[in-house]
Amino acid sequence: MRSPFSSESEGYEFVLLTVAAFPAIALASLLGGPWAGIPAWAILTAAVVVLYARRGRASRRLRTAPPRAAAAGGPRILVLALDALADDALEAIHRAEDGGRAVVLVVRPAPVSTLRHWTSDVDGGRARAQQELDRTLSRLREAGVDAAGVIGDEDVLRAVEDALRTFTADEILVCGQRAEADPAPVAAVRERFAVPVTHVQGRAEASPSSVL
Amino acid sequence: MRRTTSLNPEPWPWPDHPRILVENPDDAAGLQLATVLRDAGYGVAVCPGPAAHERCPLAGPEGCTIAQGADAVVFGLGLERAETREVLQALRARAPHLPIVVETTRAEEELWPELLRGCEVVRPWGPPEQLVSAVHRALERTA
Repeated sequence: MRSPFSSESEGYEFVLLTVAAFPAIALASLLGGPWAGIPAWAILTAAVVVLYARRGRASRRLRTAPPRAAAAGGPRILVLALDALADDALEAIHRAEDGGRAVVLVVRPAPVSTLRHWTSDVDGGRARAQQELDRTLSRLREAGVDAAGVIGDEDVLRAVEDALRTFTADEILVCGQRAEADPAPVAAVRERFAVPVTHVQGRAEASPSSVL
Repeated sequence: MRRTTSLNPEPWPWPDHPRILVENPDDAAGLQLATVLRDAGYGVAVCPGPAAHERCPLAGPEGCTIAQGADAVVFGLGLERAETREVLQALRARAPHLPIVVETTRAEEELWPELLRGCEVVRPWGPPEQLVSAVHRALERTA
């Protein structure tokens, strides 16, 4: 659901809605007694939740991208690793090299459960993501790929956006079987960034520490 | 009845580079233009424009932070629909000094001379270099 404070005008609109709800609840209480205010409050709250939920589903953000790096040589590939790296991903990187040598930045989002998110207990999730990232980087380097890696935000869009601030990618490669069950992250990356996006499903290398 | 909008422009995520807003309803064409402009050193945002019977936030009270934060706009929404002409009008009204490059045909140019006054005009089927040159020219003219 989209936050009612996503922009100044939306925040203002939410405050107006809240202010408008108070007289309605007070009126219901005056006409129907003190207990009539509670269902009025519940109905108004539900109506506002439905309004924002519908609005969140319908809204379209714009695709953006930073300028490409002027450096000569191979392509710059941002690998969004949702799982352990699959062989197909390595093949895709080698295909993209096309004679040059690719420069690769691997972003591994650090997912945490909702409970851990709310209790800010993210250290375990980050540690597991770091192990996964270390293995991915080792595989890439063994395969002769010039790669670096970072742990990203658990929100994949924010993770990619943060990475693009310092790494200007020619393309984004989304890797992971996770996307087979839930294609939303791949679709979201395609809709959000004006950079060619390739999804490599592939068979991920067995990983006992995978948290996805 | 007041027309709604589903477009949700947010501020530019990469504010340190010259920024070009590409308005194009075709996903593939928008991405292609974005790639050409990125190669030329610009940060880009691609907007598909309002859907039929929808209002562009730029023409409404919300405004558009992306358009207002851009250094130039490449307008390729076409002028055949009232909704898209309204976008161009709103761009010119809300950001009168913003350089605008309009991809349009000669016929449209003759039909809407007032709307296109002061804009750089390029043909939609021209080579990508032509578009980049038009963006450079538009930026230089307002520098």
